[in-house]
Amino acid sequence: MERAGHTLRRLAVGYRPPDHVDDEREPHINISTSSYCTRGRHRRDFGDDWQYFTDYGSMMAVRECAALKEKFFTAIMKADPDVIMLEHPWLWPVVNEYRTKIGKQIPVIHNSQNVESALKRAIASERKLHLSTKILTAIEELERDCVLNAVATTACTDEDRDAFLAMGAKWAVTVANGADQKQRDHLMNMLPPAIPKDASYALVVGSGHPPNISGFLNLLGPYLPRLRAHQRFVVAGGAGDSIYKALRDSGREIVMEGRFINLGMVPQLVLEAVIANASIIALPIQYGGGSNVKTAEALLSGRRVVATHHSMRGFPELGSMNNLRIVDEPDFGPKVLEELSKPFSVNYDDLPVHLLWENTTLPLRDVLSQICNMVP
Amino acid sequence: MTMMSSNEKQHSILKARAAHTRPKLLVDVTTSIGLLGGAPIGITRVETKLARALLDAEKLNPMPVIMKADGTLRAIEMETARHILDLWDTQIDVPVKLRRAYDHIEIDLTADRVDSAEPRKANRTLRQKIARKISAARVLFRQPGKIYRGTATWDELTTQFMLKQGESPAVAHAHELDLYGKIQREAYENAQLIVTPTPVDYFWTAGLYSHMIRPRPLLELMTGSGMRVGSLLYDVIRVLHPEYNPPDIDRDVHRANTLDLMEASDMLLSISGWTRDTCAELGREEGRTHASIEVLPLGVDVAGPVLSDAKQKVLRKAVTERPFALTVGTIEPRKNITHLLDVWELLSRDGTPPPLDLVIVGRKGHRADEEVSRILAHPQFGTNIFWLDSCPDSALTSLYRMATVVLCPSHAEGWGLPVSEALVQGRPVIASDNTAHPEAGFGQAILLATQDVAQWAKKINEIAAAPDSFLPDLTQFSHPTWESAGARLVELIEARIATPSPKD
Repeated sequence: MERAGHTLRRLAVGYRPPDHVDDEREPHINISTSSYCTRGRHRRDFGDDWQYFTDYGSMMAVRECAALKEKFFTAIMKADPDVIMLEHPWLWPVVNEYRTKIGKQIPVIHNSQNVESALKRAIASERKLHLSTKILTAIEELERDCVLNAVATTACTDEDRDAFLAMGAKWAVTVANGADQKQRDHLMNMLPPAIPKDASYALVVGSGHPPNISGFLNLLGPYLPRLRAHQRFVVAGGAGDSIYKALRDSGREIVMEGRFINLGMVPQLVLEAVIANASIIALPIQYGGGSNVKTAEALLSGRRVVATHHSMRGFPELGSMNNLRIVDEPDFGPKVLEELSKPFSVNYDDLPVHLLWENTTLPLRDVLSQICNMVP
Repeated sequence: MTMMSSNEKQHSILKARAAHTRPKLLVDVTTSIGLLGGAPIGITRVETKLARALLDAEKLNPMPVIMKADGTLRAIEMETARHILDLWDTQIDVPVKLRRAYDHIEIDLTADRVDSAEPRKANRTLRQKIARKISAARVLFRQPGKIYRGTATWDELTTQFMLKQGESPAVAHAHELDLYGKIQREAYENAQLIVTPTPVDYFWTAGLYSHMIRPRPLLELMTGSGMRVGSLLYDVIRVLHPEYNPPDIDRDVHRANTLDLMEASDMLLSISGWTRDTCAELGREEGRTHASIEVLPLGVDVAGPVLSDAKQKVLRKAVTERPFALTVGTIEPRKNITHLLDVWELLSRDGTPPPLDLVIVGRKGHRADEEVSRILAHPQFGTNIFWLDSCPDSALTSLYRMATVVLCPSHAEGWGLPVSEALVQGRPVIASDNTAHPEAGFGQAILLATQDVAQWAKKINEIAAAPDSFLPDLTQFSHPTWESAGARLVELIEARIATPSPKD
């Protein structure tokens, strides 16, 4: 958007680490200072399930704390925006309150990554959360209200776009996620100490988002015993800890030894290196909305990719790529093992360059330009 | 059909991956990260300047690396490395970082000294010392796109440290005070990637004497991988003159490290002809074969921007407003600072003030207790002799320019950076006539016998009386810059990489 000539002002809302250096370019509203959190009201509302709702909770933390809300409003006022783009719908209620307060209907773009209400329901169901149905209903209402009032909603996939249109969106556009094409050749044979340098491994990159965890456990977990001496499953990102715990708690701790490597959160350079040296990048995703950014990154890496159909949401045209195998349960695990036994290879010949961010964001830039033209 | 064994498979994956790579230049930044936040020293200046030139040379496919305590090389994010190299320059931004050394003296010591010398003034002087100590408290400040240090003073009314008026509107958060430490820790923690070099890779180091880069693990790495090494030799003074070494490091450490590095390197550069010759001599004595040694002329342009007029006035007031002679270097026996104290005693022997004040710039180094005691006990300390233990490069440039003469009495130097830096700033230089000083003097420095106090005093008197008569003729020599040094290094390494390794 900046390249398209727009001036951006950013505002972040979330937990702020204690050593985070304040940066005027991106003011950070720290929700841990909210009376909603400090007085434990978040625990009253969400109990132990708070971890699955910190995104929705960030809105609650701002809305329910006068001081934080004032800070939030001041930051918006300072930015004096012509258009507000929301990443996810969560902050919509407070942004709308701001619009009412100043008496100006600043156009809002709802930039979605998922149909959040559906995703939260799926997580609640999978995790068997004992949540009050009021919260799920509130989330549904929040999302719908955001969709109805936003000038435009952008969705990662056509499927999500259709869901938003069904909710009543005035204008919904698909803006697929993309990736950067990165040069990683200089990282060949460079690995963190946890990975034996001569190991052939399938890499899974994922945050602690529940679909990443259950996908690994369902599709790859059962195949750990069948890995050969030089083969490994490697997980990078927040998903690793939960996967490790689940495997351990299910009596498979010994099976993990020499087979499963949990790197946890890794610095960017390490992530690039583990991608560079991976024999396979596996995308074991079985549910969840949005189009997985990791999918675009994997497809542009030049490495062999084994993906589920669900992880390929948003990229239906890529089924014929040389490097790509799309399979679901029960064939996913065996296919990863089969690919892992092949010699290491890299293929840059048919990279899907239309997945580069500069191409995938074109519709968003178009939406923004049209809205800017509407602003008096 | 032949079955591939597990070992063969493992070997083949390394080869298969290696087939997708191209030669890399591994650039050692161990010392720059390890000493980050400390006062700049010769090695950090050389390493940072040369590393920056190499990291900018994209054609060499550079990758910043550090050597960890376990002897492994670890990759560093390019952005992190650049940031850290830049921080060495960022530190120089504000002159008020400059600090008088006696702010660090134990209050008790100061009190004792004052008590014994001038009991009636003790309390007042002690108060002044404490006030100075407080006013020198440094705080990191941050503005968009800029991080620098400023001075805080103690405000009696608010009982808080306050910014000096007019310096910056920014407010420092407590956690930012440890910014350098945080950056350093993050760099170490993030250095997780073990570098597995190949025969086509090349490793460059200019960090030998920091003892953070160790040649023996490097040799083992080379032997195992076929990687080639290029290095910079600073000197063998610690082998030739063990009496100046830190007490905890024997000359054999330096001998072993130098010999190992000479053996490891297929390209050997030295900072002077004297270093080249003495290193070659050491190699001969030890019966070692090594690559030929080429002199890499180091830059003599002091890093960093020149201070504004206003800041120069602040600086001048902070040091001395009388004409002064400047000496720059770590306070340690080899630097021979006591010689200058003798000279200053001679210059004011008859009770008259010396023609010039003496400003000493340098942190306390090893085995320097005697030197420091002599400085502190010198009758002219605080009146005609001043010691600044921390001085950013920008302030140093200004000090060079303000000085009537620059003095370099060292017993031995692998090059003698202050000699050439001062000349380039157009100042007269008196240097001891040993080791590499004649080279660093470019035929323009006045060279005197190291311990001839009378000769030094005489020449200082002459220069003080007619400073313009002793100015160096800048048209008579062309001095290397850090840019030219970096460009030459890039050229040399490019040529080495283009030459196939014998083990390839």
